[in-house]
Amino acid sequence: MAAVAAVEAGARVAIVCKEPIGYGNTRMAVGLTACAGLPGDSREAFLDDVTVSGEGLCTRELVETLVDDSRAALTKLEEFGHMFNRDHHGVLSREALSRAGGHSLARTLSSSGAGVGLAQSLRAAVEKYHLSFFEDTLTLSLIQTEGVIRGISALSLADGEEFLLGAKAVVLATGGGGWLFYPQTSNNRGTVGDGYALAFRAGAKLMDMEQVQLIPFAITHPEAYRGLICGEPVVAGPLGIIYDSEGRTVLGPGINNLTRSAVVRAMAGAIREGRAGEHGGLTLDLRPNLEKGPGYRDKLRATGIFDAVLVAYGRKAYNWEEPWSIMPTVHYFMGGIKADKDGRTTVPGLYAAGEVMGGVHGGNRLGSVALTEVLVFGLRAGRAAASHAKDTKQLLMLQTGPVVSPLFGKQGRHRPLTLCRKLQKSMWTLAGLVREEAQLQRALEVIEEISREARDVSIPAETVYNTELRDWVELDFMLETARLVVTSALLRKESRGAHLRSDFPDRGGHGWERNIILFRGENGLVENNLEEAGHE
Amino acid sequence: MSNERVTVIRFSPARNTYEKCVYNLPSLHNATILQTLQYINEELDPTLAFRYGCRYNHCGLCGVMVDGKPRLACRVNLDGANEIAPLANLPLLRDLVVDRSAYFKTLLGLKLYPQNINSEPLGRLQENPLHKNLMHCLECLCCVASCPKYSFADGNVGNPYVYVKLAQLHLDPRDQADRVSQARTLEKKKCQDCMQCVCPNGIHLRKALEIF
Repeated sequence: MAAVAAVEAGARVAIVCKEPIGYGNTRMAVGLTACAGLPGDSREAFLDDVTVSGEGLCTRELVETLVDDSRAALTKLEEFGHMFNRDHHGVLSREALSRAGGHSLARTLSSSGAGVGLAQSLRAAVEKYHLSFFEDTLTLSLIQTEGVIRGISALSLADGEEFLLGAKAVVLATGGGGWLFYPQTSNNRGTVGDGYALAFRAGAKLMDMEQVQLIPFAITHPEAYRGLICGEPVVAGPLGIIYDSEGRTVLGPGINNLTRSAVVRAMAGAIREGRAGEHGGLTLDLRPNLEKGPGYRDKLRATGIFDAVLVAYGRKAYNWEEPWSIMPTVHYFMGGIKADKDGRTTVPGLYAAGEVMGGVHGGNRLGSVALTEVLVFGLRAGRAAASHAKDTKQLLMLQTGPVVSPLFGKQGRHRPLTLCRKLQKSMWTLAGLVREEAQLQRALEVIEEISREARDVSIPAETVYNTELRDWVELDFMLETARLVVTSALLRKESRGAHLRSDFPDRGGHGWERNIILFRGENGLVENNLEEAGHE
Repeated sequence: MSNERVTVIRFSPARNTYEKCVYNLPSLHNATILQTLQYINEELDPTLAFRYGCRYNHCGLCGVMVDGKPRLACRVNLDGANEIAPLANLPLLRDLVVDRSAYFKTLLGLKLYPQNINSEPLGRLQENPLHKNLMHCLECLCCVASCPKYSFADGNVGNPYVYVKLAQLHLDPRDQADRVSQARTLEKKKCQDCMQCVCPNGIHLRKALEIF
């Protein structure tokens, strides 16, 4: 979206993408997209839903932008070729809408193409708008002179060539960092927090990095599918019940009206008390919903949101005729790069859009607003970046030597992939579902230990699609992002939104309605301050 | 894993040839092909390259040939399979990794987006039921790998994936371009009396191809 908006504003644009274009997290979504201005809705109701859900941490101006620009952004997507579902008369009436998790009203559109359809439309735009692109290309760093963005350094996985790309403005649209918690995540394999690390190293401010959303219902077994989504609160329906291993109720009827964080909080409490079952999860029983017929189930099933149940637990479970084993899974980073409503970060020339930016959702994201966010802020960041580029003189980039290419053929004691797995396991056990001071301190120690080990790695000499080199670059980003998440989690000495502390189990007072801001200090250390929430 | 040996056919870009590697695996229950590849990479052979993304049926990145048939590695169990190879007919980077970028570049120019839309976005629109089905195409390119008439190396463009894209647009009431003529210029007639292409995700390839 950002690239199209920038081209329309007269800029010359190139997209740099780790995978082929359109093969990121958007593709994996079930395609539910919230939109304002539909029948029966009001601006205030939408704003309130996002703000209340965010538990005091949302930036008001960003929420207003999300809501006010949503319809125009979805319109743009249909111009690319995407098709949202209408009712049987072909109209976007209330019948065509659904009420996604945490919303008070039905304002969510679906599409038969789901996330894949959306991703296809975005890729089609590459041809329609004659965009230049570099696929299978890792961005390694942002190049600056005197604090101003001049371009990026990048590595082509296809041939192992490292190169510089000059740019007067850069828009980061790298998504979140769910892969830090693999396998306990719904995210795509490439979601390693690249954008947070790149921005932090360039001197940008980040906010509320401790706010990592878990979605309550994910597969617990078999291992192949562990962590994959099989539903959010709305899937529980009005009568679904969550039980512990001894059949005691954890949450009773009405789960469908709760936010993701409220359901996760209840589940986390039970799991922490040792009430989980064989595979570490609780039990979701949806059978009571079938007493009123299969209509509710079938409507949800059509979205594909619990498709994974069929392969993991079988047909009867998929039909809601027997209960499922469930466990929360890391889904979305609410925190991220601090940016204004045009995606403008605190670094001149650097913009952010989508999950990589923070402030929109505060402590909890509602269902179906992430795709809206991608579209809305992509368009705005693209326009703003084009405008910045127009007003900026092109300066020659500093020549920098190759950073990662010398690693080809390096002999060392560790494998990057093994270190990734070690980090992921530690992040889940020490900084995942429920956090606590000593465990977070231990997580920091592990991060430093792995950072040291990452300097002593073996990388094969193969230049074409060297996955070990990719793992090493991604490990480096994951370590930086992990450091930011854990540091922020240590600073927030309360439980708020998605951030649960067993040593501070209650929400702090209004004094805690502050955004935790992180930035790079002397010698690369993480510095912080607290800013009153709600403002830019 | 129900069997103990699996052969992986790996493409070597340096030699421009395929190499056979045989791996002995422990018995693990119900492992998918993707888990098998991950196991080989993590425990036996760090150099093995393959793609994956979502881990279950959403991204289309993990397509491979399993005993000669195109499959999504995340969806099928190893279950007695003997050989895993890169998707056929497509350009390769290394081992099992398809050069998707090179492949998709050959489609630039086909204008695979609705042209000259003259209706209001988000306005009234009736979606054809076949269009709904075709939009589930994961773009895994397994159908291309199953096509007996297509080869990237031959420089042609027409293949089942392209015809699905053109069928999507033909069935999209907003698109004003003549997709039937376009398909025919891509030697669609080669599909007559063939129809051997398959889709691992239930896309109605035959119905899509019959449009043209």
